[in-house]
Amino acid sequence: MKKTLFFILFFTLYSVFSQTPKDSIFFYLNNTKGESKFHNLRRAISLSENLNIDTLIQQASIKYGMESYFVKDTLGLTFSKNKLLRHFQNHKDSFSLGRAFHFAAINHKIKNNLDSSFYYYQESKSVFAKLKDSGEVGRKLLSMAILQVKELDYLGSETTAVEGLKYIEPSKKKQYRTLISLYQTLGNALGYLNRPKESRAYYLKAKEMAKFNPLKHRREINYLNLYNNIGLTYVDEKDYEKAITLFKEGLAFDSIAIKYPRQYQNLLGGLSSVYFRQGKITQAIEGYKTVLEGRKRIDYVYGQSVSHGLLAEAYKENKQYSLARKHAKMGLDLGRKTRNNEQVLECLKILTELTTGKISKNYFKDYVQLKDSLFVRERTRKNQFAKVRYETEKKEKENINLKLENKEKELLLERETQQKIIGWLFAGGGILFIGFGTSVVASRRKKLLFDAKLEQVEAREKERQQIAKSLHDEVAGDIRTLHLKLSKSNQLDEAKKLDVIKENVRNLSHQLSSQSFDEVSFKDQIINLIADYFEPNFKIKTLGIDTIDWKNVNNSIKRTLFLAVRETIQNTKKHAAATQVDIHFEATKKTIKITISDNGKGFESKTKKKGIGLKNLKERVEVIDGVFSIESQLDKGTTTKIETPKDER
Amino acid sequence: MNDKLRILVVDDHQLVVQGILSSLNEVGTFDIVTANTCDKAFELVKNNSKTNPFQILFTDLSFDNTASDAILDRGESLIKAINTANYNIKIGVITGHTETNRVYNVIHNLNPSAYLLKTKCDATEIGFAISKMMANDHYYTHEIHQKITRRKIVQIQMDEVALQILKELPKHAKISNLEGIIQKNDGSTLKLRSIETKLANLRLDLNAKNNMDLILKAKELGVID
Repeated sequence: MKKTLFFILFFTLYSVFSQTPKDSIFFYLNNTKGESKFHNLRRAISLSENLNIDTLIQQASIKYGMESYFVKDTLGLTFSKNKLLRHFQNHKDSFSLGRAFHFAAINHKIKNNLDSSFYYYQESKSVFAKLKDSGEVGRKLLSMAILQVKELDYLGSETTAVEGLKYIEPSKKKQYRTLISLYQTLGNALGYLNRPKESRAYYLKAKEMAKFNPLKHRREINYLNLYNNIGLTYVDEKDYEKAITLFKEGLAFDSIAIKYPRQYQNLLGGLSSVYFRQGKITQAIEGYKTVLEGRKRIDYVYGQSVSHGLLAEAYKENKQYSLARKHAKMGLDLGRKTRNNEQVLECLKILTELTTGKISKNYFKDYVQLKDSLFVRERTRKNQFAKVRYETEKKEKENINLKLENKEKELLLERETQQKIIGWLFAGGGILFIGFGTSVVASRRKKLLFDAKLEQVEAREKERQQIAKSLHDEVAGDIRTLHLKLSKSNQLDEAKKLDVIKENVRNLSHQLSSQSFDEVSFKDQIINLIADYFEPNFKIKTLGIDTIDWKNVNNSIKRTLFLAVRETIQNTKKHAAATQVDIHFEATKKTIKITISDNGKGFESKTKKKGIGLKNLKERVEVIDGVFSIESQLDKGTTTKIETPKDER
Repeated sequence: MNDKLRILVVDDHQLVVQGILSSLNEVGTFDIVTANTCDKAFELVKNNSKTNPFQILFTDLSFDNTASDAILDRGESLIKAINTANYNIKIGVITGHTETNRVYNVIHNLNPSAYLLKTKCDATEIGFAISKMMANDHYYTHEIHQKITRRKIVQIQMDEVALQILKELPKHAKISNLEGIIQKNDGSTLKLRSIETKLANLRLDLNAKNNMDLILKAKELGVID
């Protein structure tokens, strides 16, 4: 029961925690359809901001901006732009900056601030140019060229579009949509500039590209637009027959009136205008009327004003003046509404001609005023556009110069740092050399000192041998003679005492002596030593004695270690009341470590004074640069640690 | 050739030589020659080796009277020289040295037939030693024998493999069962042959008649619990 409860708990926890916020960001990002799409996108942005997932902030902001653009939501665009700008400031991701400028540009475009829009397109273009994103650069140039056409700066548009082609043409198939639009815009601009042949050439290029458009719907729109545009170029060339065949070809498209009403209207309008130019006024009026009806049906106000203007012109030609006036007035109204200045001028011109007296004068006054203002505006616009372009180009040039300068400076700096580094290297090398030298000298001195110490130990050893020998030979010999004499003179008690003394002296002499030391391996010596003290109730165990290559250890050091071990075992046996002694041998790279621990009664190592044996031992170990220490606690045994250099050779 | 044993006694102290001689005379009649230095002793052994060789040499270990130009300065050197020259002579050590290192060195490296201590060197001791030596056996006086045995016990105690074998042996009916159980320091297991060799050495070391005896002796001596 408990187990199942645990599992249930586990799985709920698991499922709760596995649903990370990141997943929900993707949920919001991927559910951007229908009514809640803006809400979801905003949620996605704020969530990714809270979690600091930068790529997602960027992604969500861009998506939000695009969606806002589609519904002409300027506030949404500003929101996205600001998010992207912050992202750029935080992470120096220029892509965000380019997008932010782009959003600013389309925002101004929606608000009809065309020069600001142009400026931001230009900025965006520069950013993407630095990022080497030729697709984006091409698209920005396209947008700029379209803006220029709108502002009647056809020459400017031409140059912009041609520049755009430079970026887009190399990657034809990938960027076919931008390429088609560029060709079309270029064609339009050239058409306005009255260069129908060149214009047509670009339209044909666009037609060539249109086949790469995989969407049937869009491809067909492209084709139909191009029929219209190419037809218009023939109209400009006054090659009406060709124009008519093209318009008719377009109009013959299967159920075009229902599927593509705009294209149908354009084509029909074009055809009608040809009829008008050919003098077939009634035919033209019929066509214009159908177009106007259609435009009314799809609520295409801009188109309606154009249709009204054309109808007014046709009725005037047909001498149906009242109808002409009516259409001219409607064209004027709708033209003003849609800021279609061309149309307004056209209608004012017709109205001036079709009215009399004061009314006519007023229309004419409006006409002249508008024309003048338009002229000035056009000039200033053109100038502004030119200025923007000029300044950016200047900036770019300056940037290039700055970059060059920077590079030179960097090179200079680099050279300086290199020189510095070389200097430091030399200095470091020198210091190292000096350090090395001193350390060599120091180690040599140390070595000499150590060797001297070892010699000292040897000398001491010889002295010991001398003492041992004289004890054995002279003292023991004398005692022996005395003993013989005493036993001969029947003083047996004294003889016995003397015998004890003799034994003691002999033992002392043996202890001091290191006879046979060189003939027996250190391990055997240690075994011998242990054997001297080993008893069933005083067990001595060694550990790790085989881990050390004793042959390579200096003899004086071995002797010292041996004596240290002996002294320690002796002390333990005498004082510790231990039953077990463990001797642990260890070797490090340069030292030998011996740890001797017993299970005896121990003593207070801080309070107890060291005996002469221990003092001698410590001194002996320290002479050869070793460390000797005893730790003990009452009832917790004693641990002796000896660490000496190896002095391998 | 006479049938008396020819014995060479070497010691730097005339008193000791006298003592040994009197003990020998108690044991039996021998053809005895004495020397005071190792060089002299070696010369005697060498010169008589073809014509009238010594059967037994008794020598001390330390000599105080060695001249600075002496070739052989210690009993050890003398024994070593004789061993190297491969003379057919039994060597016995009569000395006062009981330091384990020296004893071990002499017995282990020079392998004399006898090791006696001056303090206990009476007629019984020396007679027993001579009979053992002539029977191609060894005789170490009690104190030395004990020392050597103790040393062997210590050595066994330090030998993890030997301890394992001694502990495991009573648990198994056959020695072959031990194969795969006994491990070396590096974790590999010991082959049956190696186990048997080790057991033979242990029996020798502890002077045991068979494996059962070996276990009993090991327990008695405190090698295993």
